[in-house]
Amino acid sequence: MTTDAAETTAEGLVTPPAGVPGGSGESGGAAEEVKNILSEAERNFLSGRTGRGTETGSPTGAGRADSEAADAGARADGEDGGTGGTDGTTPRRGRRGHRQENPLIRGTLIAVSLVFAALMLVLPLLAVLSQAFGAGWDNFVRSVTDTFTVKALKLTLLTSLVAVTANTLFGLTAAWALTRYRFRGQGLLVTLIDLPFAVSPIIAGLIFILTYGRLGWAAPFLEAHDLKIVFATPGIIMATVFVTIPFVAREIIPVLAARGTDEEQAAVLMGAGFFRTFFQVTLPHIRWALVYSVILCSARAMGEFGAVSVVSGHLRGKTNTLPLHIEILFNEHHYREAFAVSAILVITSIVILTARSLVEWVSKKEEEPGVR
Amino acid sequence: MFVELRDVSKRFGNFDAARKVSFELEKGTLAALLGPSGSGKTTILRMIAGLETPDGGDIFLDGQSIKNLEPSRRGIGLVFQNYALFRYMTVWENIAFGLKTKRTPKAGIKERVGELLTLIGLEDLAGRYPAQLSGGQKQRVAFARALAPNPRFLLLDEPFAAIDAKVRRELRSWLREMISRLKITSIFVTHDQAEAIEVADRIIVTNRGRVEQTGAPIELYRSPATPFVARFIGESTVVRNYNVLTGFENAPDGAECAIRPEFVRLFAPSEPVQYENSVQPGRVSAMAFRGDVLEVTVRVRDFSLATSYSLERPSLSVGDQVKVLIYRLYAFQGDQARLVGNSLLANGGGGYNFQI
Amino acid sequence: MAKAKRIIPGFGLTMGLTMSYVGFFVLIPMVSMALVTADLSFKEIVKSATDARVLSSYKVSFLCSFLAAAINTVFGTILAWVLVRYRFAGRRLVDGLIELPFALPTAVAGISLTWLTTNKGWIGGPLSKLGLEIAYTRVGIVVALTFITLPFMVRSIQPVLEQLSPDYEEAGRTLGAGSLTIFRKIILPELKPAMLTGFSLAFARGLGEYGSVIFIAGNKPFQTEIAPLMIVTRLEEFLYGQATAVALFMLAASFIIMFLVNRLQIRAARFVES
Repeated sequence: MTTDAAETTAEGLVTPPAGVPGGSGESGGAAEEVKNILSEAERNFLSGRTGRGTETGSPTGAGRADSEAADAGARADGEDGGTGGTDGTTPRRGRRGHRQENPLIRGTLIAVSLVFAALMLVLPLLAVLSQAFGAGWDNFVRSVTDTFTVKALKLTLLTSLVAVTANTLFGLTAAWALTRYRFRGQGLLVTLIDLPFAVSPIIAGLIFILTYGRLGWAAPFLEAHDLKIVFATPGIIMATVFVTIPFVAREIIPVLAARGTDEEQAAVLMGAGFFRTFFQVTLPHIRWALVYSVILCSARAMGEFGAVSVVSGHLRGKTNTLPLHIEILFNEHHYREAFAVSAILVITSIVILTARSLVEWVSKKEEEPGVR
Repeated sequence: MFVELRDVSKRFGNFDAARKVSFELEKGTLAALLGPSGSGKTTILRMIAGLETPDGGDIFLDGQSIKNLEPSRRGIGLVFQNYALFRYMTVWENIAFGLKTKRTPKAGIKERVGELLTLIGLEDLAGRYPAQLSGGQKQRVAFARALAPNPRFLLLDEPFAAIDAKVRRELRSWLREMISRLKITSIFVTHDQAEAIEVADRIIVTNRGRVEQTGAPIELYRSPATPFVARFIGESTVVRNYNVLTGFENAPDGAECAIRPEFVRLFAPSEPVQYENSVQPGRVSAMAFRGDVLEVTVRVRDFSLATSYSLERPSLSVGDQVKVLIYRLYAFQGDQARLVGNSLLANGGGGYNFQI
Repeated sequence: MAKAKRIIPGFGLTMGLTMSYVGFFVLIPMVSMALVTADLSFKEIVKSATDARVLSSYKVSFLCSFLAAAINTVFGTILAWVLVRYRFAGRRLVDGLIELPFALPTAVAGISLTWLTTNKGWIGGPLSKLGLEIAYTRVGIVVALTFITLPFMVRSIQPVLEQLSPDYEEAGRTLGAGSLTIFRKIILPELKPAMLTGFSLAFARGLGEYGSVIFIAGNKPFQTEIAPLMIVTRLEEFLYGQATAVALFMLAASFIIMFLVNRLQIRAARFVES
């Protein structure tokens, strides 16, 4: 009987995804059709026009030369960083590839993308904002100035501040240690740093409960010293730190690794110590990657839910972060309030995304001093 | 001796980068560490600089062991292969860096940097970043940066490798002139024998982690101590079983030798030869005009020997029979090379009789 | 390769800090998990990890994560393609929004998607009139996971497309190949490794995702209960051993997936190179 239930749901579920790739199949079909309908000359005309049309849209020749000069020198820098390194090649993209692209395929694909992005990315944002402000500004203000909300906000800020600061320092030292020296167990260390990415946030929370919880092996020690970690602020901070450990390190390691150690060697040979070498020689190379990764790390730290939910104990006004507070409000059917609090986080993440794009843009412009 | 390496060794895993390397240099010498890639020359340079720690042996500078001295306290300037200029500092800041770490007073830094900028002729570019400089300019800045703290010893790692051929010639003579003007003892690493011969006072030839021979360029050319040096310096043809050659019948079977172009002389069939019994028949297999002489490849028995032939002599063409006289050659015995003269010539082939 | 002396300064300082930090925040907690596991008998582990309700939660998690990753393989590839190859109004905006699921707290995404898809929401409302339900069904879980894992796919494929020289396609075109042929024979093989990476990242992330799913899933045992929720449920019952057993199974599963996909990827990469 239970299996039956599962089966029906599964069947119901098959429909939308199957229909979804169907959409792309359609566009493929359309492509074939267009190919058959249009004569050679017509196609050439259309593609020629498309080509010119986009040429104007793409950056000027000078802009291209710029980016190429920068490429020559500092491409290897990988300042664009891993996940979001997209804008660096912006002037390059779409320069040629679509010159002969069929306009119908092009249109269809753009339309599919825009619809998908609108449904998946824009609509959820609009939903939150409309629900938050739907009942007017006063309601919104009342929801977000509620005592528990303010307390949750404070805890979220504190947690993020500590976690981001700690992980930034860690990321820098780890990246330095992993790229400036060779030692045994380097691979293992990288794996350990990556581990939090591979582990479910729930498991991240679980391991802290198992360590510092009432039944954890560290419990006797903690009780003897009257320390409370789980179901208290330290636990929330530690779980957040765990989940965001890889962010800064992972962003900076490839940048430093790609650059080699020549400049540091030269500095050392001229008598520079660790701090002078780091701040004057190394840091300028990684500053954008650093800013970028700190932004991403902050986003994750503020929004972390699963791990924090496990270790928090949901003590309202004490161990609730904003995301946990939202959960409680939502589950208690205070939708208006839940969305109002969510709006704070939505606006924050939009700010973060904008900052991210800005950093990418600026870092591209300044990839290497002197390259204009 | 100003610089002395004594039995310096270094291993990387299973790779011997330096095996009991020893050599000495007098003060003011400009020396070349010459060898093929992987011969350990850069490792030797880095050990002197202190960027690599030798597994054994000792390094002396001005009579004092520097093996355990911090790299920055050795009084050594190093020009890196790719210059390793600080990319986020201007030319001025790059040169001043080594002075700032030594807590030189501001006025002193300003004066010294200005002096060096004048020396390298880049006063106008003080505010530029490395990315805005040409290869040659970067090289000059790297040179000035290494010189700024007044090192007693200057090391240059492949200083011309990253520069295109045209500028390289210019830069070579510039560097040569700078160093002799400053009278600073220097070693530069290179894999280009022509560069070493042209620039250096002394050449240290390395091969597979060992020093093959140390000497003035002309010494190495005239009396290579090992088969490797005979092959590596100057042009030569290596020949096996050379006891089939007229005048060298006494050589053991299977022995190898190197024959330089100037050791071979060709005579047209019509030309008289003083020692008719010391020549052997050969056939011209290729000819190339080199501007002032002809470069002739001649087939003698199974060997192809290269030599030059004056335009003033009776004309030759490919396929012609010629008489080939081999004055002398470098006979290889184990890891030694020895000059051996043609036994049928009156003076036994003699040696070089020029002096520089 | 341990050297007697390290030339660049700061080895002791940075290594010391790095090791202590990783030790304290990663190693010690992970060791606790091993300790708890060691206390359990093999039988107990198997029993807790294969309980009927737990088994059905795995099924839900794997199925929904797989579908979400599959959906993203299609739409993520199209999005990446469009963003790399075409210029159009709003391109930069879409490009910037791709990372929204990374930046938006999962709980916010969860309640927002839930509200949208319930029968009172903008999307769920019209659909419920057609008899289609998203919220509180497995379809809802797939929707949430699709949202969460979208950036993995797009960001895996984008750099590869950017590197892909248009010369190949132009060569193909001059040889008379049609758009579909060019895509299938020239572009798709180049993208395969990146698609596999994106898929595996999305799939693995989907298995572990919690925050965005629990709101929309409805969490009905045997129907819409995901595996991470089972861990939480067991923890709330103070059954630490059972929670750990489920966690172990999940960890093993995600490592195996990553391993398999890695091998596939290596193969695909080799094929592309040759």
